[in-house]
Amino acid sequence: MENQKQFQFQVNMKGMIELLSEHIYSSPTVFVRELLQNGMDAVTVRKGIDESFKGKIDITFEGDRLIFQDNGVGLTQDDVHQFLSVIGQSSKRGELADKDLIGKFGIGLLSCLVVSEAIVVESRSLYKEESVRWTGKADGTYEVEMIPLLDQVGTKVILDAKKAWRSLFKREEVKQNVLFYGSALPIEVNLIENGEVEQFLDGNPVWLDNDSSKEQLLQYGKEVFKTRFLDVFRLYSEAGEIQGVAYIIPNKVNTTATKEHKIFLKKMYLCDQATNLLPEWTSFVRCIINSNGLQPTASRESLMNNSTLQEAKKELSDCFKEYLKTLSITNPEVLEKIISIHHMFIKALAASDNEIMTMFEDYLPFETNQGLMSFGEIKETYKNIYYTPSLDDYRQIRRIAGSQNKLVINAAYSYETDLIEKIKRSHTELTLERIAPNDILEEFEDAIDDTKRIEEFIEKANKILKRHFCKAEVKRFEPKDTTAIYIANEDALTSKNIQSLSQTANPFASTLQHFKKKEEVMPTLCFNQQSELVEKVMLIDDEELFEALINVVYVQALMLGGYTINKKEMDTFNDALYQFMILGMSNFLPKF
Amino acid sequence: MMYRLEIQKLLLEIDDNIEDAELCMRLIRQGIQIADKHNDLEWGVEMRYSLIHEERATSSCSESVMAFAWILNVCDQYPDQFHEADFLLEYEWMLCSAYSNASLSTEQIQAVADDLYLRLDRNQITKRGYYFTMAEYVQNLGDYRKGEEYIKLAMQEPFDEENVEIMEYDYRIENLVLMERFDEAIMLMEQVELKKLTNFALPFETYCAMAYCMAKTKDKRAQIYLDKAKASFETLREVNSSMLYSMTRLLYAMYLLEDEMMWDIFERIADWEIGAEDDLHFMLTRHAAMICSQGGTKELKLSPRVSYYEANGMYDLNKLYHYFDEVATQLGLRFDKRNGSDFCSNEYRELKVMNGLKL
Repeated sequence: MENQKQFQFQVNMKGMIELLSEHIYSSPTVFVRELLQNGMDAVTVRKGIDESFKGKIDITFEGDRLIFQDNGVGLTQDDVHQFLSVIGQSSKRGELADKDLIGKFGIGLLSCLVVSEAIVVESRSLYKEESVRWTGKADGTYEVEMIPLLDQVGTKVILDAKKAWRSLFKREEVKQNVLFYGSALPIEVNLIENGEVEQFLDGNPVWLDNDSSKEQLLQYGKEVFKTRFLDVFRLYSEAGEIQGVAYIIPNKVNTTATKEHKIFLKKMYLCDQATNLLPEWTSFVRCIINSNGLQPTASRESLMNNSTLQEAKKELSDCFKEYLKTLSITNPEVLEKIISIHHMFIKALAASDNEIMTMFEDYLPFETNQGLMSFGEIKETYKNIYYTPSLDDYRQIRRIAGSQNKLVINAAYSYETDLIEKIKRSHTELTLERIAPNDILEEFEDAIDDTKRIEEFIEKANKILKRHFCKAEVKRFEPKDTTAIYIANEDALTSKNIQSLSQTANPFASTLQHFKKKEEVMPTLCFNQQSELVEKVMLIDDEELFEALINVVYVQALMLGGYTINKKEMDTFNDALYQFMILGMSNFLPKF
Repeated sequence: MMYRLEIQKLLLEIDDNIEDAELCMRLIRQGIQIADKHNDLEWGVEMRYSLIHEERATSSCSESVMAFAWILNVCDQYPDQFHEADFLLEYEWMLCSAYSNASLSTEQIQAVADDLYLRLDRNQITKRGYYFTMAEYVQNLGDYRKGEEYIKLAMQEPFDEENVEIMEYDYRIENLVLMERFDEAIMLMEQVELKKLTNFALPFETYCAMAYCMAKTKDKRAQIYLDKAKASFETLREVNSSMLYSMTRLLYAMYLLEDEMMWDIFERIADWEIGAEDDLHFMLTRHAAMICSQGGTKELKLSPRVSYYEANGMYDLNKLYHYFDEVATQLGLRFDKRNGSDFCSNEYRELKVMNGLKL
């Protein structure tokens, strides 16, 4: 063990910078964020000493050179050695570090080396009558020298653009990036070029100002998101110390649309999406929020998902509920408009939140066989309400249920089924039943008269229909001229498909029935006793003619219902027609 | 030709509702019906292919096998128009679904595996995925040695689109952690990290496997891999119920390591149980049973679809324990009966012993 020596890792600074630019930071413009952040932090420390102190950041343009100058606390020579020259060591001081300062990882300054060959930092500390210059280069070397006392306390960062990044040093580009990252910073920012000063940030963004009016907020939203929003409300959360605004989008939103927001951390722009923080309803709003209490990830481009973030998410949801509640009293027209545009999201939200459901269930619209109706209207008009989550079943039921004055809701969206399950539990006075096409059969009038004859007919018909994986029934229904209807719910159609695939040669044939979660159900061909044709078919004794007739009625019912007709069924239909033609012609052929 | 426009309209609707998997499945089913009605084999294959892919993103497998059997049948009937080689990747999934279903006999599973092998062989397609799938199958039977053999065979085969480099690491690490050879698994994981390999839910799922197996054996490094799993989870572009197995591992590792986010994960995955494949169902229920065995009452935000839903959001964990325990016990017995062993029931019993529960 004594022979063991400790060696130090060598870090390739060039490689490190490439790593930062290609992997950690998503854009070379990040240097603007890092410089704003350093300036802001330096001013915050100075304000900690003198509350009345007014901080500012000046950005001066000198050709391809950019100078970021703050009037913060400044650095001494020792500070410079300690903080600027050790990568990974934050210069954030003492107990302020976690609470009030933005930066934390101490690698931010390196992002400047992505766009500039060297970083020159000139600083005068508040604590010492001296000024120091630190020059850091991309090859990992740095120099420190004492310089004549600077005019004012604070720090200047001087960057000379690499050829490839000159465009990023142009005034308009820098202005845009400062606005992008730092529009919420509580500090004055000035742009200086050829002696002209333009103050474009005053440190008091309208969305963080509790006194700003709704009109001001809407105007701001229009400028930021280029959208004339329907409405705006404020967001607060104690957890994560969050404050912000949410703008209601004025048009229908696709669920897959990018959810673009503006998330600030300690008033510095962080990211445009925060899926873990923003609740589901934010799909139809655009948020601008600032958090002083949540933790960023190492890249400082997203938020860490922890219990504080989860708590904040709940509080943000409460803001939304509170907003809707208030709106229902103060401005029901806007509320109705929001629901009519964004009902899909509100339904999804109500399905997972009892409070929202109770508040808005009456307003929520559903697609029914009687047209689009709100749940309020539905429960007023119908005591028995039916629903189906199957689009295919709905398509069949809609046709038949209409003539029976039944209300059927199309609950195709997954959350609609959840919502109905909840309504069932909260409205015990209503009957909400899931319906399948076969259930409609139950509602048809029973066949009358000769029971024995009907039983015999069903038995004979079943022998033929069994080949099509179908069973027969006889009922009475309208319209009279409909000979028969074919009814198959989703499970029955699955059973039919399995039946036909089970006869194939591949190794899955014998396994298919095991992948079904429900019992096998057969489709039904329901004959209409009121039909003249059916009455006559029942009287036919000739087996061949009977079989041909049943086959024709079967395929006809499939066609009528818009069902798939497979090759076997088509062949059967053609055979039956052929028989009819032969039979029909036989009366006209010459007798020998 | 109008029906083709109808199908395309459905496809647009699917695009608009891509996050609602159930609705997408319903729309695809409609598309299949339209294609079948017009005997359009090309659209029939296309829509069934979509159905399989949509269902693969869920914990369930109730329609894919039938759709696949149909496609395979079309390929066999019309080999000039449809090439089985185009669907053999999906076939590997079907093999997974076959052994995940407790109702299928080992003979049926073997027949499916042999048929896949034959088709891969005659089309000269790499058997990498086949061997990996077989490795997973024997791991489920508790035969980790055999698993290792299959993995070695897989590694001798060329890569394909699906079975990329990180998959190989995942299978190898999985097998190692199941055998509690953590040092070797960590060395492999270091390579994954060094190479920055990622693919869909990997390395998140690999981290989950490591955290879970380490936490079960009280290896202190479990916390490191749980943290990595959590960080990796945040970077996933998509989280869906097909990840139930790994999410359950994450959940249980969180439970053992007393992670504050454990119940959040439970809330997120509880309704993935509905319609889930038998092995995923067994995985979730046996671990959820352990978590609920701590008893007491817990406020949870769950979907009204779960059979134990309470409108007031308050759940008696003892009741939940009995529910999960019953389902897990039955599934364990069914798997054991099928496999002719007692591996699954034993695994569950061991879990109970580790949690101090009476047998």
